[in-house]
Amino acid sequence: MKRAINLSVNGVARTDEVEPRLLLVHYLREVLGLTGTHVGCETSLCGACTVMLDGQAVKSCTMFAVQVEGSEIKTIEGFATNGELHPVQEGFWEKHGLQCGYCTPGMIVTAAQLLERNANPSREEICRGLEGNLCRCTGYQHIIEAVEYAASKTAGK
Amino acid sequence: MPNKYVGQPIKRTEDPRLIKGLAHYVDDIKLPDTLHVVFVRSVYAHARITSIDTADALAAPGVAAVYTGKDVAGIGPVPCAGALPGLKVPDHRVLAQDKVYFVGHPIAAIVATDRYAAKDAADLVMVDYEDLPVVVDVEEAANGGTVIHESFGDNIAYKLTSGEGDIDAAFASADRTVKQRILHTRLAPIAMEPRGVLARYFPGEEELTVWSSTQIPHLLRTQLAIMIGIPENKLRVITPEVGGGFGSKLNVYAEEALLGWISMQLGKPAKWIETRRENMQATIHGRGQVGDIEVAFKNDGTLTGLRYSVFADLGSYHQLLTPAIPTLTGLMLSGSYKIPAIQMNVTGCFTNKMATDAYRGAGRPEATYVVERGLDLVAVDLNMDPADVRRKNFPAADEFPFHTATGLDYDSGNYAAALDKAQGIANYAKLREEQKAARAEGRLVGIGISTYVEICALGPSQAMPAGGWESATVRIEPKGDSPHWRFAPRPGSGNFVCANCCRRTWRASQRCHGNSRRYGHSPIRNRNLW
Ligand code: FES
Ligand code: FES
Repeated sequence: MKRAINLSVNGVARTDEVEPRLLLVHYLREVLGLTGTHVGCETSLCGACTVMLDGQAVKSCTMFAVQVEGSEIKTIEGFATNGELHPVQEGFWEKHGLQCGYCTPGMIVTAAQLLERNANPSREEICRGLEGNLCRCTGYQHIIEAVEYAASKTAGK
Repeated sequence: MPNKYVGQPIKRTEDPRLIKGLAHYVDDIKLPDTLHVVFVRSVYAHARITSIDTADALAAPGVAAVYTGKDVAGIGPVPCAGALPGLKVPDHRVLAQDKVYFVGHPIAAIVATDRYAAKDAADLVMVDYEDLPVVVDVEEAANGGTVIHESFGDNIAYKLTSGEGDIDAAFASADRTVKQRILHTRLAPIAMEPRGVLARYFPGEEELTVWSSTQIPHLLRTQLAIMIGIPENKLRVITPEVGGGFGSKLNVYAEEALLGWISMQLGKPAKWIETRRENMQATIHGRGQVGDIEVAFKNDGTLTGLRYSVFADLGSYHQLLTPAIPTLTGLMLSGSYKIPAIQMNVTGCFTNKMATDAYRGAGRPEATYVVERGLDLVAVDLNMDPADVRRKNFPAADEFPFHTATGLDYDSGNYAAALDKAQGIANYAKLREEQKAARAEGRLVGIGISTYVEICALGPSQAMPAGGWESATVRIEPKGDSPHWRFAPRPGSGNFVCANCCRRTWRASQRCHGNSRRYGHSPIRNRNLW
C-alpha cells in the first residue's frame, strides 16, 4: 500500500505517494527524474548515490523514501546556483577530478559536506572524508586536488 | 603539425554536464512504456537443469513475459572472434539450455512493468538443479578434471606454441638457467557503472535501436544484427555516457541481444540494468594465467632464451576475444630486450567460471610481469644489479628497427637512455645506499624496477590481423559552426587528437561519439588517446 511523503528536494516542496519499499535513490531517479544521483553497488559501499539529507551526506541506495518524510534533500542537480558552479564542482573541472564521471556526483556531495565541517582540511583529512566514495578511473589524486582547490577558493571569497 | 592539445592540460568540454549531474548514462534514459528485465541466474557453478517452473512468475503482478532457454533458440550464439587453429568453441546461447556452467549463468529473463515487479517475479521462478562436480582449478581442468562440455571430451580449448629461434639449443648451451612459477590472479574489472541495455523496436519501420554501456558500438551493431537476424541497416547502437569500461565493456554480451529481441517480441522498449552482484558474476573477468617461466642466460647476464608454459583459465564459454588474450602475452614476451629464442606454450582451458577476456592491457601486462620477473631472477642468480641486467639486454639505439623472437618489429627506441634518465631522476645510487642502511637496521626496503613496451591501437597488420580501422567525420553546418563528429565512445577519456588535427579550438570540436549510424571502431587499446 502506498504512503504519502512530504519533503523538499533542491528547494522545491514535493508530495508523492510511494510504496514503502521504494528506495530513496529510486524515488529521486525514477519519480523525480533526478538522474544525476547514480547507483554503483546498491549496498552502501561505493558512494555513487550520495545525497545531502538535512545537511548530512547519506547513501540513498540503502534508505527508503518513506524514511525522509519532512526532510530537506539536496542532490547534485541542486549544487550549481543561478548558473554558477559550486566551488567543489569548479574544483573537479579545474583539477581534472573526473574521467568517466560516474562517481563524480557522489564525490562532490561528500566533498561539500567535508568542507562544511572543515573549511581547511589537510590531504589526510580529505582522504579520510572521502573514504566512503569509490572511483575506478582517476586514482584519487586529482580528486584530492579538486577538494583542495575548492577549499582555497572558498577561503579566498 | 603543431601540437596544441595532445599532452596539454585542458578543461574538458564534457565536464560541465558530468559535474552537474545532467549527463545521461544508459539508466538515465527514460522512454515511455518501458518494460524492465531481471534475470534468474544460476546459483551453481556446474549443474544440470532438471526443470524450470515459471508459472507463478508469469502470473505475478505486472509481468509481461518470462523467457527461458527454449524460447530463445532463434537468437544466434554469443560470438567469439578468436580464430585459433583447432579452437573448440562451445555453443554459447543467450540463456542456459540444459546445463549451467558458472555461477551467474542466465537461465530466465523476466519482463515486467517495473524493476521491483520483475525482481519479485524472478524470485518465483523455480529451477531444479542436479549439481555436478565443479572444475575451478585450471591445471585440474587440463589434467583430467570433470569434462565441462561433454562433446569435446576434455577441457582443453586449444594448445598453441609460438615464438622464434632455437629454444632447445638456447637451453642446452646456456651457462645458467632459472625457473619460476608465475600466477596472474583472475580478477573482476568492476567499472563503477555496471553494464546496462535499453532497446526500442519500431515495428512499422522495422528498426531497432539499442543503447548499451559498451566500448564498441560499431562491432556490437554488426554482431547483434547477426545474432538477432535483422538487417544491419535497421539496427542502430547508441553508446551514451559510459561509466568506465576497462575492457569489460569491450564485448558482445548475451543480455544485449536478448534485450533487442525482447523489445521486438513485445513491441515496447525494454531495459536491463546490471546489479553489482551480476557484474561480478557475469561480466568478463581478466587475467587468470598460471604458468612457468624458464630463462637461459650467460654468466655475464646476457639472455639467450625464454620459455613460458602457461595454462590460461578461459572460463566456461568464449566471449568475444577470450582465447586470443593469452596470445597477446606471447607477442609481448620479448619486452624491451634482445632475447634470441622465445617460446610460449599456451594451454587454454575451460573452467566453471565466467569467461576471461580483455581487461586493462589484455594479456600484455602479463607478458611484462613474466619477462621482468625473469630478469629479476637472473639478477638474483648472478648477484647483479637488476638495472644492469636490463641494460645489458636492451637493443642498442642503432639496432632499431629491431625484430623480436615473438615476431614483432619495434620501429624505434633508445631504452638505455630512458633507463639512465629514470635512474637519474630517482637518484638510484642513493636509494640503494638508503636500502643498505635500512637493512643494517633490520628494516626491509625493496626497490622494484620494470621496463615496459606496449603494442597499442592495434590495426590490421602482419603481426596481428585484427582491430579494424577507425573513422571520423567532420562536417561544417550551414550556420558555420564546426560540429566535430567522432565515432568512438568515451568511457572516461577525452579526445585530444581531433582538436589537434583539425586545428580548431578545443571548445569548438564538439563531439558526437558512440553512435553506430556512421561506422567506426572503439577506444580499445588507447587508440583514441585516453
Ligand atoms: S550505490 Fe549506494 S553506495 Fe553504492
Ligand atoms: S571518474 Fe570514473 S569512477 Fe570516478
